[in-house]
Amino acid sequence: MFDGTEPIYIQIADQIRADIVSGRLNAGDQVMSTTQYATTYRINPATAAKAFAELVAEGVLYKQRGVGMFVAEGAPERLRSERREAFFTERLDPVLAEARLLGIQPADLLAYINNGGQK
Amino acid sequence: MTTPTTHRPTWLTATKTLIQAHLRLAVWFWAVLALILVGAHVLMSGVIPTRVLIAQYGTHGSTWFPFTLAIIFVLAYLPVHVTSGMTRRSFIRANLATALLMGPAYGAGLFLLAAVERTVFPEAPVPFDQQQVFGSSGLWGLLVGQALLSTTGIVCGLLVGIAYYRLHALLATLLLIPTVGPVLVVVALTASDAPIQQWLGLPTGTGWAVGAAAVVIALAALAFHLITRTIPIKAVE
Amino acid sequence: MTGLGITAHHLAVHFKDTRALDEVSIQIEPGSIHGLLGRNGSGKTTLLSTIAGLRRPTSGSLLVDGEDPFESERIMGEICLIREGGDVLTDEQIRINLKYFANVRRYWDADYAEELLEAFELSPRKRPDKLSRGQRSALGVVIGLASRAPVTFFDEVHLGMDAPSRYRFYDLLLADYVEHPRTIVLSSHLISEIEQLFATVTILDRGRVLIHDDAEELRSRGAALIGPASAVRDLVSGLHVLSTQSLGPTEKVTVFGGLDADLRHRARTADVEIGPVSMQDLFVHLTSGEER
Repeated sequence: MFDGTEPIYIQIADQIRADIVSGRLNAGDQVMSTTQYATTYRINPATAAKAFAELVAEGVLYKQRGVGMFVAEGAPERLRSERREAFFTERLDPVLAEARLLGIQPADLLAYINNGGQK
Repeated sequence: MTTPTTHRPTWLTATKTLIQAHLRLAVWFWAVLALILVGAHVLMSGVIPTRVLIAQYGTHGSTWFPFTLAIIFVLAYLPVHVTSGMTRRSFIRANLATALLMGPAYGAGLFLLAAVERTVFPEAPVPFDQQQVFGSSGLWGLLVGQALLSTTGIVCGLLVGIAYYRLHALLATLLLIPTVGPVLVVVALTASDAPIQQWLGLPTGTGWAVGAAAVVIALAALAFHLITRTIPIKAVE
Repeated sequence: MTGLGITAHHLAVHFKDTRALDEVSIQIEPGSIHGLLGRNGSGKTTLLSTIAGLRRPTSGSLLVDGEDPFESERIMGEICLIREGGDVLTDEQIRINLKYFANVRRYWDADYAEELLEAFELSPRKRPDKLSRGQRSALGVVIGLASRAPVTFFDEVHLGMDAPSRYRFYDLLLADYVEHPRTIVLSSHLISEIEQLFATVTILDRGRVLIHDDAEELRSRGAALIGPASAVRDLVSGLHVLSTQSLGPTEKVTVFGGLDADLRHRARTADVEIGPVSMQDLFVHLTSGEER
């Protein structure tokens, strides 16, 4: 848990975003409280609070006083569309670069994709 | 955060703890002393006539027993007291208050034993030939004299204990002369032949002896204060 | 109240023949969890003892909530220092000890103390001198937590405990910290289990402050570069190299600081991977200089 080079609060925020994108968390769902998060993962509560504050500022989560924090309406769609844009630059570009290096032709890639992930 | 639960000065709390610790063991001490007293009378009855009050020989125990307790308690409580967030100042005050209360308590204990013995054996005279303060006004002299001796004993116990805590064991052992010395001085001051007063050319009356003993106690207490007030609390071994 | 702040300025504690602390300047924010790291003999215990008023500094200034703690009735009562194995009435039953602390500790919570005893499976009728090292440490934890002092120090207490007890300690500490925020300092040389609890960190080395920083900041400064030896060596030239490991044609170099975006980009193009370094590893590398 939390072993990337990124600061822990960014890793926490990323994890919650990932949960929303994958559908594990839906709009209106309550997320863990800062306290629950801190005690569950044994991290400093201030670190967890920083992650949640970032997500609230982004509009991914919203706070309901005295009740807790919830996934905002429209957040899943918004996150997915952001990810779609990032998909090509962040995910696909490195794959294409690697393919070029290995001499894999674009036609081979297309065939692979059209086959649904089989040669 | 919750509000503080105690508003009592810490030295009072610490004094209460120390008095309780002293009393728990003093009760045993007095019980054993009473048993010895009864035993001695039973053994001697019919052999030799009871010529003295046996209770007066309890003076040695009543002086050195609380002395020993003071050594043990000062060593046990000092680190716990300070690491519990209380000052050395309050520790000093609590220990001196305890000495001033427990010293007279030992005087009273011996006084009570002697008074009971006196009631049972009215023919036993009270020669108290060693002690002018003891002999000055019967049993009341015993009360005052033993109160002074036990108080000195406790304060000296504090000095011995704190010397061993603060200094190298060898040095503390060498220092036993000044740290235990006050007890011997008070014994001499209150003795019937008043050697110190004679030597210094001072008056030899009982009042003078009591006053001089009080000065010795005050000096020993001052020494304890000076050694303890900035004492570093050692690392746990 | 959310704990008190601590400020040390050029603090020094010298013993007859050793400089236990020298030029120590640190600031611990009120209400934060601070990690005090250092090898054995680096001055951790001396620093905590001095802050708690157990000894007077040789020179420099030390303020807790703006006041010198030494012999301060107010400040000393706000600090609770738990040292491993120490500072209980060893030949009195635990329940007598707890009664003692209930009398002298300003914010003592007796019910919570009972709960904690149960959590650590300590019998109130046992005497501290009959406890194992781990149980003795657990008793220290009970006293430290139930004291609810605005400034609480745990000096290497978790070292003597077995793994289940340690994790219980971390969980209880966090849960109570959330409900009763206060300034907490955990000192240790084994930190892999607790490094994520720290908001800020001080690393002491031979009595001096080596690092005094935000925990996140410290973590982000360390990195391990793995890749073709020549490429790695090229990348790290001029950087603060902590360790080098050769694995045939591949080399792993741990560096501290200097990882800017440009370097990351160059690493990517040179097929050099940049991985994280745990705080424990950073600490070990930073303090493992020449043997003393």
